[in-house]
Amino acid sequence: MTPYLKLRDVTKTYDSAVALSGVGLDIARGEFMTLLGPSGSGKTTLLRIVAGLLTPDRGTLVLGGDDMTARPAWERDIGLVFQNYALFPHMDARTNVGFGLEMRGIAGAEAARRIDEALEIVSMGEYGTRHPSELSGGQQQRIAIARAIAIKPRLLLLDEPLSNLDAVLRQSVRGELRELHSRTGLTTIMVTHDQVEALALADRVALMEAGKIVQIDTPERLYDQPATAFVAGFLGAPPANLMPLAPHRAPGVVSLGGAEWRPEGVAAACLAGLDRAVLLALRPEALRIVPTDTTGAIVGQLRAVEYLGGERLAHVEVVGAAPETPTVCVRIGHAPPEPGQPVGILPDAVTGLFDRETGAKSALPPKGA
Amino acid sequence: MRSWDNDGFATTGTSARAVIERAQTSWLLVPGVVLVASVFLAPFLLLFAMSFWSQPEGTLLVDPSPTLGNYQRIFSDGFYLRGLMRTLWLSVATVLISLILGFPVAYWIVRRARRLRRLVTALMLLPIVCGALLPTLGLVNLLSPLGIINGSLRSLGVIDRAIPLLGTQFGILIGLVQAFLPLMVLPLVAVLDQVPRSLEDAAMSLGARPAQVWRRVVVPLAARGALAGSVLVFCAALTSFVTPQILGQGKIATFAAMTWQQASLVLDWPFAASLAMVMLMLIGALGVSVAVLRRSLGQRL
Repeated sequence: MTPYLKLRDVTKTYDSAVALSGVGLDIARGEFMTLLGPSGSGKTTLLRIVAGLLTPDRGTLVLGGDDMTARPAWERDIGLVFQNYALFPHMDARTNVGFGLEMRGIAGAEAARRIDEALEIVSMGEYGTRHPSELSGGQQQRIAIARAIAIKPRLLLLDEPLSNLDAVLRQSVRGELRELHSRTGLTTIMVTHDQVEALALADRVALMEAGKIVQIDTPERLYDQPATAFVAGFLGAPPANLMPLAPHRAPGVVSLGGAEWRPEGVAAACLAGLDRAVLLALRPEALRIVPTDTTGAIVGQLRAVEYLGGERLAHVEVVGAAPETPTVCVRIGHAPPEPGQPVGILPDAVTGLFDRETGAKSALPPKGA
Repeated sequence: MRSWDNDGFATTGTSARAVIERAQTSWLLVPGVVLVASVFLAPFLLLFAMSFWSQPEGTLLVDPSPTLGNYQRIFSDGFYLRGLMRTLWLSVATVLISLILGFPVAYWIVRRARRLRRLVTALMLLPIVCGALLPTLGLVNLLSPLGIINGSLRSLGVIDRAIPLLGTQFGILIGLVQAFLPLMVLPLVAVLDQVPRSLEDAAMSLGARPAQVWRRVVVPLAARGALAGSVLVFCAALTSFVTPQILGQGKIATFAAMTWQQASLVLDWPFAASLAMVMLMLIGALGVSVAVLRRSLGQRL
């Protein structure tokens, strides 16, 4: 499969700060890709480079076989929906939606038909004569989307499309974006810092950290098989516990921040032959609170319990571990024991094992080697 | 007694205090109102009344019986009409040149100046801060037949006789633009500051070339600032006295200069007052038409 959009070695430096370093990305035609990452990770910079609003210092951008790298924004045919919607305040909704057509010299009945069509797709047919100041935030966003799709773009870019909406609206617009995508079949790139949005909407997610893409994968694989400790520690609410482990002289025992732990089952299989300092990623929902004498349990003390509505989050301090060792988050459904009580934590599954120095996935020698 | 809630805000008595504060703060207006009424409003009313008086030939005594004679004289005497038209044309030209020069400068300050912004804004304000006289005298050195412009052109062999700049309308125009350009740039900066960069980006992504972005987005959204700046520059140019007087070398009579002549040289105060009133009426008419124009620009911006 030849990718529809192909980015190679895209690098951008602001003054002295590196915003993007050597980013490569392939997107298939019709795919919905999200760029996810904390603020400052370079995702908006990447989007602006794709749109042609920023020039990369280095790298190439090929869209549908055409080299776009040196092409100005106004010749790219890329629809862009801005975080603040960026509707022209001095034009009514129809004129906004028709702006791209006007720039292409499309006028009269043809323009009217395409404006109607675009407004219909976002269910805003009746609002054509309103000015942006007479529309709610959600309505403005629909107009902004209609304006971007009216030009029949080769690519649709969404910059944090949900961040300015309230929680209820966000939920419904999320569904509408998904529907818009399946209806128009537009290849879409969405930038977001909200992982729920990214996971819920995307076919694939590109997770960015400090100007680099650290993993591109389906939402499921990103969550279940994180490529680095950063990915494991970023995805999830709360994210995976990253337990600092080191080898111990006693056989079958590992050091958990200084405390002794004798893992069993999946954890033991994963940790057999441990020969260096690692981070073990354990998802809060893959942990169970058990009696302290259970085999394979980490011995801890319950520090606090947060009620999250329908479920609880237990914070457990590992007994005997160094003070800088993070507390372990355990997702539990039932009412927990009293805080202060000693408890055991038993992992049911392991999300990943990472080198503590580099954060890279750590491949341990197979058992018995 | 005031009680404090958890946030440390006074809860009871807040509204009562607000009323007291409102009553107290309105006293702060008193000095300003008194000042404006005594040094601006009263003389203005006096001037208005005086413009209907007359001063019979050969005397400095004023006849306060109301007459329209002064106004009739202004609008029938070619000398004053020509002066009026000349002043109007100079003011309009100053506005147009300031618009053309000011727009890019304002845009540059808002979008590109970054750390230089404060410095550039301060430099922009300089002609206003130092008054009309100093920069105008500087311009004399620049524009005179032996000045920098003519001198360098001549030494470069471009011209062999000095281009007359001082004592011409063109010279006055240069001075007026130089003096009042900040009045155009500052309101433009204020409105352009309110135009998010993303509007220009959006227009470009929709296929607008930079020139089209300007024509369809930047200029319409800055129209209010341009209008405000134009009014300021027009009024300043219309009423300016020092700049046209010095750069015109007394050869080109503007309306303000005529008024000053009548008041200070001829000592015909009623006639000077009516000349001043014509100028004020022009400004008033401009104000009304601008208000109408603003309304037609729409409240939506």
